[in-house]
Amino acid sequence: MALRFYFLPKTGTGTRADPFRPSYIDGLSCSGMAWFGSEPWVLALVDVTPQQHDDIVVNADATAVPQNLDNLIGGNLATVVAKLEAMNIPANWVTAGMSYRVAVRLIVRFFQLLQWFRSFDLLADRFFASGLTLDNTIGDLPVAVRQRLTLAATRRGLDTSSITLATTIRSAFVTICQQIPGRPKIGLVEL
Amino acid sequence: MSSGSVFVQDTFTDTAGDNLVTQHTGEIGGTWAVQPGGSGSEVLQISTSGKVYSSGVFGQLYASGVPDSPDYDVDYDFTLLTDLQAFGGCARMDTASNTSYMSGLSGARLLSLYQVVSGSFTLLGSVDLSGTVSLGTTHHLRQRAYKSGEKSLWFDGQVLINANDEVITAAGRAGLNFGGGSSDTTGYHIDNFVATNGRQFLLTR
Repeated sequence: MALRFYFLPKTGTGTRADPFRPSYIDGLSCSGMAWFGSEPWVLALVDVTPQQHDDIVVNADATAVPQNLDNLIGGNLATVVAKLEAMNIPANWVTAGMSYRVAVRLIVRFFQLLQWFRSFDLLADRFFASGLTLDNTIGDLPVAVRQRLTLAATRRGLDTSSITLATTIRSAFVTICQQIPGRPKIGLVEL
Repeated sequence: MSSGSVFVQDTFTDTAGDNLVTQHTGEIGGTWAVQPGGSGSEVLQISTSGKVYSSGVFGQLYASGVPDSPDYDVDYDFTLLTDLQAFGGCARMDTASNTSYMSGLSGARLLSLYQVVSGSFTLLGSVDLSGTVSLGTTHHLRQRAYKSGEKSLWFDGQVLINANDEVITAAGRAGLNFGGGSSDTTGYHIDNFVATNGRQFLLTR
């Protein structure tokens, strides 16, 4: 058995019997996860055999993080960037010389930002409502959404002074999340 | 109340058959009330061995003790007499809607942690304990909710689930969730329920 991180799409209907959960890992032990706010993506730490790993990654919308988080991204840069951007996760800051651990650490910060965003209105629509992309600007956001995003950052002492209505969502996320200190932990894995 | 202090303690010491909500009060902050969103059959009773079990279908109860902050631990002992539906602790329980961080052991001995928002369940972690939990043996569970994002479950002192989630931010209350009809001699029994404020380490000169 091995502990592996996967980015997985959401499945389920949200009932007690059929909760929202990561796809493709029913029946497997999952010692922790982080959801991308209300977005349909989750980072899950799963205990897998080689066959179970193969059964997960055969799905085109499942992305496995290398088992050794301290491997460098290297020649996989373009693939990593494409996979992240497809999930509305900013990836313009990722470099080939970066380890997967460092990359996943900041990605979890993006996930935390949208969790904090959601906390201000638990029943509101997801941040990336229909048509919205990372290339949209802060000014393209509805006022209420813009306010919740600002609160999500400022209530935790993060500086948003350099962010204007012309700032892209991509840049705003990076500006905010790069300020978040510490190293998040999922399961027993410190990122 | 200082950090690290107990704000709920209930050893469920009372007359066997007493209803937890209408006939029992625990030692500290131990008056229990129904959280909306259950089946309507929220019946927890004291057993002849001084534990609590659910003879109802499913639901949630919260204790009256008020935490200092959203950071706290919920601890309890559990004994599985026979395999039945989930029963476990809750943190950050909203008193007006079915919202909380909810944990429990299912009939298949799967230990799970959920984020529940207005009755909508999202899984935060699950671990198979079928090779670890034995019928009749008492184990200890701790559920932790911290502002750092840590939402964890500790089984007999070892962390088994540690998710990063900070969607439900209000402190709410500590409590219990349950499903499936247990009896005085069957099902899932809980004892020694304690909720403790998060300990803050202060640097002093």
